Formats: sequence, C-alpha cells, structure tokens
Amino acid sequence: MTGIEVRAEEGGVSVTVAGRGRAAAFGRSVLDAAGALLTWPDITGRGSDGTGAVRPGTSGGAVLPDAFVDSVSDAQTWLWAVYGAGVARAVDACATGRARTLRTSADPGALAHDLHRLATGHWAARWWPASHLDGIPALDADLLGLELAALTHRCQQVWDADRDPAAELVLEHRAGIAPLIGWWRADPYAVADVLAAVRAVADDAGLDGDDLDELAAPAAPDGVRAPADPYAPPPGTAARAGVIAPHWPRALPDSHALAAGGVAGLPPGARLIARGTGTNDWCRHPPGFVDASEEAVTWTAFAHGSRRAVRVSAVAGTARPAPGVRPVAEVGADGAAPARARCERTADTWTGVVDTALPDTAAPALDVQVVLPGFDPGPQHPDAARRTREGLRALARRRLAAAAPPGSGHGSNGAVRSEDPGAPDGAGPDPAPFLAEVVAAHIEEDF
Amino acid sequence: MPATPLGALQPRSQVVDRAWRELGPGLEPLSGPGGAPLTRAVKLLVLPLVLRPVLRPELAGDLLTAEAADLAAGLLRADGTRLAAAARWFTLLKRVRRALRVVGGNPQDLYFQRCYELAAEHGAPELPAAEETARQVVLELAARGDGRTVDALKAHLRDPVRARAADEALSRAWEDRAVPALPGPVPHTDALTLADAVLEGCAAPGGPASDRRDSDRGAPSARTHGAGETGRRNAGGAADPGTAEKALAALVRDLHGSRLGAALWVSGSVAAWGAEGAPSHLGLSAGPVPARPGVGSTASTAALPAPLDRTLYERVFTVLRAPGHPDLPPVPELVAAETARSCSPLGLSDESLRVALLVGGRLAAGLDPLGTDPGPTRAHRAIDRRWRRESSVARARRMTVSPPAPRSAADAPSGPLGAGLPGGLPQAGGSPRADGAPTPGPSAAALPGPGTVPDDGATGTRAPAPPLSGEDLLAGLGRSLRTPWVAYTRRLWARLHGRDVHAAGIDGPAELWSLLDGVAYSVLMDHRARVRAALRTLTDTTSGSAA
Repeated sequence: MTGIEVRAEEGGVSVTVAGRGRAAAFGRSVLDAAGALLTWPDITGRGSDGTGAVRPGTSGGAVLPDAFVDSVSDAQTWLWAVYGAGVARAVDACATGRARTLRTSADPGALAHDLHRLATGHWAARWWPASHLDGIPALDADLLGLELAALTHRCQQVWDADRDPAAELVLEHRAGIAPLIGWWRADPYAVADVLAAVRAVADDAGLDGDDLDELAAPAAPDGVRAPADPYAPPPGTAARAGVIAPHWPRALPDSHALAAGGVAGLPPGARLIARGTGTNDWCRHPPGFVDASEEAVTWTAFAHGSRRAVRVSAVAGTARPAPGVRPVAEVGADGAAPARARCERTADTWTGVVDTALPDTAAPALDVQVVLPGFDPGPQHPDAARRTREGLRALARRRLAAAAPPGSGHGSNGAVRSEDPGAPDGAGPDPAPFLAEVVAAHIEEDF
Repeated sequence: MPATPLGALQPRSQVVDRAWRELGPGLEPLSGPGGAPLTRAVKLLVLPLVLRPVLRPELAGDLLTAEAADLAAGLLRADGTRLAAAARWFTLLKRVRRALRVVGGNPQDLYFQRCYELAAEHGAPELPAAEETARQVVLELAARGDGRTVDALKAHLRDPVRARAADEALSRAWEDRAVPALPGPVPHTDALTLADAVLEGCAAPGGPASDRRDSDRGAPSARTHGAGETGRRNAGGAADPGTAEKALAALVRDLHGSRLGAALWVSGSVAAWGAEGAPSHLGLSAGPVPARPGVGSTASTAALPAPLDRTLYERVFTVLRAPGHPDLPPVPELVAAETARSCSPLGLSDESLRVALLVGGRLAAGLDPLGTDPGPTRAHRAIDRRWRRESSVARARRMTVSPPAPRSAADAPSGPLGAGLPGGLPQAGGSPRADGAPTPGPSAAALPGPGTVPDDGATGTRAPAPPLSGEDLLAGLGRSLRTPWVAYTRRLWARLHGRDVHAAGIDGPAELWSLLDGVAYSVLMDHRARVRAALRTLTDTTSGSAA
C-alpha cells in the first residue's frame, strides 16, 4: 500500500504519493489524463542520484503518479482504477469542500502499471541518453512511438474521450508500420500484440491510408495466425523472451570521431592556454543534437596575437538537423554574460570558436555549453542537473540490460538487471522493456 | 438530508466497469483491451441511453450510494443482450464502411448510438439481410452532410451571377451599419466593470466550473451527502454567482456587445482593455479598422486571415469544416445569413455571443502566462495557473521555447546572440513540413493568422518572404506568450461564430465560463501542437526517425 495525500488547492485537487523526492524537470514524466495532469516526479524511481535511495514505507511508490486534478468529474472516470476507490472518494470530499486534506492509501492496479510503463516510454522518447561515447545506443523513434500508441490504447479509460492520443501517435509514427509488419512476417510472436493494438487504434479512429490499409490485412506468412486479436496480452512479454529483431537498421552511424578539442583546429601560430570539458545540459538542445555523454562537450582556450578565444567542440548526436539549424557554443567566464558563436557541423562534430576575454590565470575556469537558441530554456543548477543525468544514464543501462539476451554485453557489464534481487529495497522493478530497447540492446553488440 | 458515510459511496465509473465485465463476452467491440468499456461507449451509450441520469438524479453524481449502485448495475444487466447486439452491429458497420471506402469522422462517434437503435429494432444482426441494412446506414450517415459541404459552397459562389449578388448584398449591409460618432475608450468603462464582475463570479469554486467541456452528463451532480464535519467550502467564496448573473444580464440588456462591435468600425478609438499594446479589436483584424468583407472563392485552414478580415467564403468554409455541419441549413441560406452576420457588430448576430466576446476579451487581455502575479479576477487566476503549470510540463517533455526577452529588448536587432554571429541568423532552411503540421481541428480557424500581428510569427507568411526556420518559429512562439490575447480572442471568436451559425446563444455565467475555459484549454493545446510542429522542422524530415 502506498500512502497518498489528497489536498484541496486553488483551482483543483492534488493527489500526492507521500514521501517521494522530485528529480529535475527532465527526470520527470508527465501525461495528460482526462481532467488531470499526471506527473511521475522521478522516472528512475530511485532518487535522482540513481543510487536507489528511497525513503522507507514507499513500496510501489515509483509506479503511481502524482495528479493535479482540475476537472474532478472528468477525472472521476479513472481515479478509482488508478488509485482505488478510497482516493476517488477523498478527491470528491476535497473538491466539494468537505475536507481540505485527507491521508489515505492506494494499491496500484494493472492500469497504474501500464501508465507507469507509458510514462517511462514517453520519457525515453524525449530524453533517452543516446551516446556513442557512453555506449548507449539510440532508440528507433517510430518503433517506440508505435509501441507507445499500443500502450496508450491499453490505458484508454484514462484519456479524454474527445481526444485520441493513441491515434495521434500512430499517425506521427506511421513510418514505422511497414518495418513493424516486416518484422512480424519474419517473427510473428515478437510483435504480434503491438501490431494488433496499433491496428485496433487505427480501426477505432477510422484512420486510413495505404500503410494503414496494409495494417488492416497484412499478408500473413504461411502457417501463422494473423494478428487478429486486439485484446492480446500486454506488449513486451514477447520482447522479454529475447527475440532478436532481424534486419533492423543500425541505430548509430558507423563511425564517430572522438571528441576533438586537441590542438588540431587552432589557427597556425596559436598558443594553447588551457583545455577542459564543458557542461552537456540536455535541456538546452533538442533530442539527438548532441551526444548525451558528460564528456561530449570539450573546449580549448587559445591566444593568437592579441586575440583570446575558445574553440568548443561537441560530439553530434544521431539526429540530422535541417539545413541552417545549428546550435551555438556559449562560453562564460567569471560570471560575466556568456559570449556565443554559431557552431559548424563537420562529420560528427559541432565546432564553434568563441572570441571572449579570458581571465588572466594559468587555468581559467570556464563554463562552456552548447545550446540551441529558440529552444533553450536557459541554464539550470549544474550539480543537480548532473546528478539527474547520472541517474538517467543508469536507468537507460538498466533497461538495456533487461532487454538484452542473457550473457550479452549489456547483461554482463555489471549493470543491474531489473529483476535482480539485489535491486534496492522498495525501488521495485522497472517497467518491461520496449521493442525499441530490445533492438537497441542487440545492435549494441556490433560496436 | 441524512449524511451518507463517505466509505459507503462508490465511484459511478467503477460501478459501471464492474457491471460491464459481468455482462460477459460479446462486448469486445465496445470495450478496451483490458475489458473496461471504451470511454466513448460510456459517454455515448451507457450514460445517456442506459443509466439516463436525467431521469434518475440519484445516478447523476460521480459517487453513488449503495442503493444507486445496485440500480445502475441492474440497469446494465437488463440491457446486456441489447448491448451485445449493438456491439455486433458496430463490428458489421465498421467492416461495411471499410468495404465501401467511406472515410471521415470517428466510427465510434458516428455509429455507437445508431447501433444501439439497430439492436432495439433488429436484435443482433442476421446475415445476409443485416449486410444491406448496414450498407444503408453507413451510406446514409456519410450522406448526411450533402448540400452542406465545401464543394457545395464552392459551386454556389463560382456562379458569377450569385457572386455578384453576394457582393452587392455585402455592400448594402455594410452601408446600413449604424456607425457611431467617435467613441470614447473601447470598451466602455461600465462594460469593463460588469465584465470583471462576471469573470470574478463565473469561475467561483462550487460554481459552474466543474466540467471543462460542455458535456451531456445530464443533470448537474446531485450531492446526496450533507456537509461533512471535516471542512468548509473550498477557498473562501467571496464571489456571489448571483452577482455574475446580474452583471451578465446587464451587459446583454444594455447591448454592450453591439456597442463594442460598432466602436471598432470607427478609426481613432482608444483601447482600454488594460493590456499594454493590445489594440481595441484585440487582433481580430490586421488593420486598425476592419474593411467590408469580400466575397472570396478560396480558403486554407493554414492561412486564414484575422476573423474580421475574412471573406464570406472563408467564414462559411470554417463552419462547414466543423462538426455539426450536417445540421445546418443548405449552403444558399448559410451564405445569405453570413452576409448579414459579417456586417454585424463583431461579425456576430446574437447579442449574448457579442457580450461573450467582450467578457472573453477582458479575460484575454488580463492573462499573464509568463508572470507570477495573481490575475485580477478568479477567471484570470484559473487560466494563468494552467499556463504556468505548462512551462514545467514543456520542460519535462523537452518541448521548450526560449523564454522571450523582456519587452523592451524584444525587437532589438542584436539580442544576446548578436555578437558572435558573423552571418547573422542562419538562412531559413527547413520549411515547415506540410504533413507535420497539427491537424487543423474544427476551430483551427482561430489560429493566429499569418503576419497580421507583429508578434505573431508563428504560422508562416503569405507574403513571399523566405520560410521561417525552426529557430525563428520557436522564437515567435515564445514571443506570442507575451500577447496571449491574440490567440485567445481569435479562437474565442471562431467558437462564438460557430455557435451563432447554429443559433446557440449563451445562457448564463455557467455556460459562459465553460466556453471561456474550454477556449483557454484549446489555445494551450494549439500552442503545444505548434511547438511540436516547430521542433519537427529542426531535424531533417527526409530521414523519418532518429535512427
């Protein structure tokens, strides 16, 4: 049982799982339910430092979201199914003014576990720390998106009836349908349930188009049942069986130049002043622009005549930016307003040279970041963000280990498997792996 | 009334869920993957047709007493055979629809209630006769909107004689307007005071604000339990809903909506909305004073002008694209009515809807999505809160836009970026991908128009300017948060216009707040969809996924 606090707020009612910490924003996941915003305040479920430090008495506490209910009668359609009838009654009492704060308990049911898995998948779709330097392969966005559509469909009672987030996901990731059908033909049991659910979503919403028609009646290989049953067991069960995905594209480019940052690239005759590693704040650039490693951003400060400048390099990520879309390098020293320069892309590296006044010390302490203007929400507290990033890399490694076949690289490199009895007490297992993670865990072997 | 112990109440949705599952197999087409009834099955079938809380107030609340729960379960049990038959009809209709290649509309919305009727009439479908019945139903529902389509509109106005007649009718109606002498501040001070009273009262807790969207839940929740011992009414309650009702009635009675609309026809009016930089028409027109509407012959949802600048064609086009169009009169009547409407104050013919625009404009002008101060009325605070939550949601989703620079520095050519950029901003690269844009919803008409307002760089331009880069799109979206009234009043106008065409005025503060709150929600969803679309233009769209 999980302790829950229900409280009347201005403009709504909050439902909070007791005794949980909050990660930085990028370690959370949010979903829009009918009449409420659901927030998992720490998607790792283990404290933002990833060590598994969870306060006592919070068993199952990672599964349930916090909720801010702003339309109680909309939310009453699902509150009982996620938190139990006791919480639904408490929300009603707070909404009607019969109570201001109530403490009760919840027992997360199947729907809560599906939602938690969905929240994890949405987090992964935006924040998965793909990194060549760290050996964390990227996830296929469309394969993940279609599996999230299937999972969204499983959780259908939670969404606003006037919006259909599952159909939106199918449309957005329809490019993944043909490969999914191809995979199904080669190995029906691995993906049949996801395919059937995607088909049910398209059918329910009346989506059409050639790729979706193919979905409606895919030619089945001989002797294989068609994926006719939209009410199949949860997706992921097949994935856990360790099925290898054939013919899936590699998730990372073949070669990555190592981070530059050496003397190479400095103007002839320049004098090297210092080098260092910058901050790689994921929040300041969109997914895939920069390799997610802590070491991905490096800098070299140099003098050239009277000029003082910093050459900033960042290992590029897996996304292909549109022409003209380039991040800027930002160099701050001594708390002065940071100087910036637009980066250029060469092979797998972003490079920018920032002219800036340098403090007259032998080893200047520079704050160097790479950001995308227009997107960048501004800097954040560096230490908390670094701890959150570490926790999220640990989550990604844990999930890849759980998705990998036994004895493979991810399974044997010391990462904790999700079912490992040594997992910290109360942290609970992570949600089952996604197909995209299974694919990634296999591709990783090819490095 | 005796207080029922809290613990004895059961959520109505749980009661329905349990009874539904007990009905056993045969309901799969109306159920989700886990066996629970589909949300739409509850909304369109179980509540309005089986439980019918309109007739049974004890079933109207979100929580049910034990007796009411028994009643609800019994009603569902008694209807089990019919529901199973409806489920089989639904499967059949979907199959026939696909075979006939009928598209458009959500099958659940279109067919659920019809299937329930078919089940009463025929029981379960019996092939092959049922096949023909299903064919007729699918075709009949698909043909429902005939004569009320964009094609019919196009054909109607393509005729040069009719187009000329429409043009002349517009000229006459425009000449006949009662244009006032130079008005004072717009809106009038009295109108603003009354609008504030409405906004304070309509959003009061325990007041009308329980449902986000107009819904068909039947009677408002009848709370069978008395006041508990633990607390009192939520959050004060200084506002008297009666005050809001009186203020709203006074606004309508004194024709404050018409007066606002007429004042916008006069140049030189002084905007008094209380928002810095807000023009007196709040962005409902690109120019200082709206001109006579043209007839027009084309429209594009992606590039609609500001509401009062739209042509006759564009105005009718938007209502034909919205849900509910099959219920409208045929196109010639729509065109005639729109001719008069477009020359009426605010482009609306119903006074209660004009007043709604006045009150909504006051709301929009006082919104402060980026600020931290409490807004002037309850309605402002309720909507500001949602927007302010949105910034942390956007961060969690990695869908951020840069915080806009302070007003003073907004349009300075060299922001913090200026110094290090030899070539200035990058040339526009990825033009917004057509299929990546958010699907234009029925009221997408209200999306801020292109280039009509200085701060509104969000939607591309019709002028032959270079396409905006993703970065510029994002910056424009960030800036648009500083002028929230633009998107809000346009979206509001589109809703009001749709209601006007359907002759659905607004009755009372509860209905008004439901509308105003729903518009705020839609504007937020629009904003999200635009950020999402802008982010997509940042990556090479030829490559599909990140792999």
